[in-house]
Parts: sequence; C-alpha cells; structure tokens
Amino acid sequence: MAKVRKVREPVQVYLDDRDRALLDAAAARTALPRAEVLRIALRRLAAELPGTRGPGAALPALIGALDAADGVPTDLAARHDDYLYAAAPAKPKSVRERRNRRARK
Amino acid sequence: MIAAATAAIDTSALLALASSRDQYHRTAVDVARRFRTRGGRWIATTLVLGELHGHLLKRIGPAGARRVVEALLADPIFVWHDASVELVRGAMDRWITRFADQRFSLTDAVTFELMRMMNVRAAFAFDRDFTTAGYVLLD
Repeated sequence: MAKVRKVREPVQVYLDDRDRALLDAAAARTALPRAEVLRIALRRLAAELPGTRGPGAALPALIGALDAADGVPTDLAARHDDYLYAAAPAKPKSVRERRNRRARK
Repeated sequence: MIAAATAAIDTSALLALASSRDQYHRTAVDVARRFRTRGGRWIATTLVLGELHGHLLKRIGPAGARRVVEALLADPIFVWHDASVELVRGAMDRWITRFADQRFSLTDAVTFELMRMMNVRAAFAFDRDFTTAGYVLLD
C-alpha cells in the first residue's frame, strides 16, 4: 500500500488555566482535536501578519492570472479536461526539424 | 464554524480563481478567502500542478505559468504530494477500474486516492466527478 509522507514535529506548549479552557472549548465546539485547533490558530495568525509570506500568499498571484489572455472560456474550470486534452494547435517546428527540411530541399 | 481544516484542491478550483471570466470565479474567491481565514490547508498532488501549468502555458506563456506555479509551491496553505507510482497504482485499482463507467482523469483519481488515504472528505473543486466519487465540495 502506498504511504503518504507526513512530517510531524512535536512541540510542547505550556498553557495557563484560561488558555487551557479556551482550547478545550474551541475543541469541543469544532469537534476537532486540540492539536488541530492549535494548528489552525497558528495558520490564521500567520495569514493575518502583515508583510509575511504566510498561508494564502500565493492567492494574489493566482487570482486573475488568466485575465490577460484572450478567449478564455467561461466554463474553463468545469471543462478543463476537455480544453486541455482536446486537439491543440501544432507546436512550432524545432530547429532540428527545420534544418532537416531545408537539407532535403 | 470550521467546516474542514484540510481539503483537497483540484485544477478546476485553481482555474476558477485564475480567470475572472469563469462562471465560478466569484464563488471560488469567496470559498478560498473563507478557507484561508479559517486556517484551512489544501492538499493536492503534483499532477494537479502539472495540469494547471499546462493551462497557464497555453494561455499566458511560460513566464506567467512559472510565476504562478512557483508562488503555489512556496505557499504553506498548499501541501503538495508526489504522485508516486504506488499512489497512481492505488488510483487505478480503486477508482479508474472500479468506476469503469466514468471518465475520471488520472489526476482526479490520484486526488481521490490521496483523499482516501489521508481521510479527507472535502474538496475545493468545480468538477462533478468528486461528488460521483463520494466526496463533498467546499462551498
């Protein structure tokens, strides 16, 4: 069976009673393990910090990346397989192909 | 409320984000922003990156395609998994062979297999094949 590699590093955190109660309440309300609540809180904090390459930093580069292109269909997302694998225009001939063709003339 | 801390992301969602002319663009941006605010994390295989790069290459050229893929690779909200031969074999056995009447792409089937192995139930996608495979879509 294939194994998906997960890198995990244990981190020990000391919490006072109030933070521990907050953690327990958040875990109970979300039905998530306490460790997952801490991970989510860390990512949310990192995303909110200004000037960092935190989670979601790639979204501005991705959102609208295709807007400069002409003729992008409105159903590209839904039918991306059809658009990617349907007959594509022929690639420009390689330098070697052009040379061989000239040599044959 | 936190809906899903980890979800798979599909090429369809990445493309919906990339094109503001796409019918699902606004929905995709809303879903992505909410997911990010909730501290979620997306998983996908490198096959999804390959598909996205193919679309970008075709429409905006090599420089633009490279910029976007590099940004996605560097962003910790995305966890990219290698599409190993074992993962592909699992995808073939459990999804493409089992759902022989469907036209699942190998990329989608490998994502389904990754989701199964990592016990992830939700996907950010605009592709009905995910619901056919029994997964729920982020909304």
